[in-house]
Amino acid sequence: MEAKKSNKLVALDADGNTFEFEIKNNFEFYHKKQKVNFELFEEVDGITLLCYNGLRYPVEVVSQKQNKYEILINGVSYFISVETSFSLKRAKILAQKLSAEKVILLNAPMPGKVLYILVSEGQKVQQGDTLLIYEAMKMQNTVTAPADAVVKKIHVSEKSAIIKDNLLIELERI
Amino acid sequence: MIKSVLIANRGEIAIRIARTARRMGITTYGLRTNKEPDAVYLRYVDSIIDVTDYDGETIEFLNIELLIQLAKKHAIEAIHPGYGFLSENAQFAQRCLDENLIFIGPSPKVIKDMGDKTIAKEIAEKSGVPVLKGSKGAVTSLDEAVSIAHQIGFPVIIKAASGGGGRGMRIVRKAGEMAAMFKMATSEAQTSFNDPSVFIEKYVENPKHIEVQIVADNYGNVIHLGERECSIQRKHQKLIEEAPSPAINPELRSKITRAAVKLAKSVGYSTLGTVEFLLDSNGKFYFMEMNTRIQVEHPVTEMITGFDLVELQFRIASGERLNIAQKDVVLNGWAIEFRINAEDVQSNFASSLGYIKSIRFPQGNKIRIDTGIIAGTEITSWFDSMLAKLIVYGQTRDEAIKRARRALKHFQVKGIKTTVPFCKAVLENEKFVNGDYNTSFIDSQPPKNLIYKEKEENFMAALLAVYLYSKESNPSVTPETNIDPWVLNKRMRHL
Repeated sequence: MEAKKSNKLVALDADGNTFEFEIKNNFEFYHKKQKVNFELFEEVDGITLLCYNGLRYPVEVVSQKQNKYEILINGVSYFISVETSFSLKRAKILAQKLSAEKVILLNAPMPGKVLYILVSEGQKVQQGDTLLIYEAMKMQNTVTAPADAVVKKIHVSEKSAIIKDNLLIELERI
Repeated sequence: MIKSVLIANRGEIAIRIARTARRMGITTYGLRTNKEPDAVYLRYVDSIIDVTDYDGETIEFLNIELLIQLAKKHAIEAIHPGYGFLSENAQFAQRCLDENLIFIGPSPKVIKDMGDKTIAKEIAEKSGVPVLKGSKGAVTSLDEAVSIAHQIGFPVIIKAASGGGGRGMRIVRKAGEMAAMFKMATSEAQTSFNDPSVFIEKYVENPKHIEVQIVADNYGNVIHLGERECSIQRKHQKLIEEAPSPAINPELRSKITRAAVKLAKSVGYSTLGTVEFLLDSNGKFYFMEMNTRIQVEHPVTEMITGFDLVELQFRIASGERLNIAQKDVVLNGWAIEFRINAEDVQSNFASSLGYIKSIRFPQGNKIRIDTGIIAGTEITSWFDSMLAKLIVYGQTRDEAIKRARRALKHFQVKGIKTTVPFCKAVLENEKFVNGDYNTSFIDSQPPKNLIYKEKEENFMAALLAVYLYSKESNPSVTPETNIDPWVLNKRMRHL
């Protein structure tokens, strides 16, 4: 039986950043193995201050739904969900799915042959830029960027034959 | 000297007017409306006129006859309209004259002429003030539009003659775009204002907004109190203003103030007014419009000149001669004003409604707060979202900026979101700090540049969330624990 009770919680914000905390004895918080010395204090005029590392910021909880909080700190909102090690995995997948909307998949609308690839992986492109030219039905066709993005992965090469819906290029929205 | 005044306004400006009136020994009357019967401004007037049983469609401060009748009923000598509401309503000014009430503002004719865009522009041109070249009257055919545009030089803007608020406006940058834009502008004018007439004017790309404060008495004496720059705007609403302007050197100041004074003199202006100009990137300025009232941003002029503008209004309206000569006006130091609005910057400045649970204002010798709210005030959609004006002074612009940064850190509000993080972000923006900004500033900044995040904020928000979560799962105080009911009552419940 452990003498000290410890509890691991992870805060996940809207940008996908995670902050891991370990709580010992119900009131000692550790982050990256260091003790976090902080205090939450409500002053007489109603302003609540979160004091940490010499900083004293006014805080407010705008809303709370189960483990999801909208925290207002210095008048700026942060959307944080608190996960246990079990729920974290699921939350991360969900977060990835949400950021997956950032991923744009460009598929071949018809069968043909790739003629020219005009971009390389990692390259930034603007909406409307031509990325790839392929031949189909005896005509040249272009594949253009539907939004400002970064070329994440090119799944084909020049001269390769493609079928309908062939994944050509994967972009990530900027 | 006027002995009594009805303040036909509310919020911070009502308090502002009452403050000076009280100092001058003028009895003040304010209106209590059913929309905010406990408003803070009511604490500052000598006598409250209760109109809480008013149920008219027009709001109280826009009801000309109501205000006239109340002034007469209570034998009040003068009416101060503040800004907004009826301050630039010629009919109201005329009704006051008819009923022997002193309207704190210029004559009805001047209000009317300056309120008409075409007439005001003609007056400006006649008095030698540079104006934007444009069509004389409405443009009715595409051919006419094309020919005028060529005379003026591109880019031009097509504006609905009966329009306003940014509607029915189309910018044309090249001759080739004219046909399509003319068609769109005229049809939009027809559907929005039931009048397809449009006029064409030179379009100044990303101008700076510079305005000159005018003070004139009833005897033809006119002086200026320097300029203000109000280029930080969002949808034509000013958010941050400063005096003097970093873009104006003494030579340009001399030219632009001379033009403003000339214009004011030519119409026989009296009391306070502001002539607004557009300043292009070549240092050329053009008349935009004249506001015949005291402006929201008047404090920055007060801070650098030392004059009380409301006092000047009362003196002039009482028939006093202006005892300030132009050479007595010295611009000393720098002032910046931040309009703190109840808006959520992260949601594209959407209104933040609710109760102010707590509020802390920064304090200091060179810090001025003009506000009409207090902890407990409810922010509703009845009136505009401005909570307070934070005005900061410094010997130099740099000092004012540094002071402003510190002051904003101490401006804390609980219960609603405000534009404080936006103001902080502007003060960290290189373009603003260099004075190199114009009216396109807000639109040209990426969203992340419009909100300032203090250091460690993200981590501390995460920490707080985790703390709250852990407390909920493991409460340290169980229901059985005895807490003195007096203590419970005094404790402000929760975050």
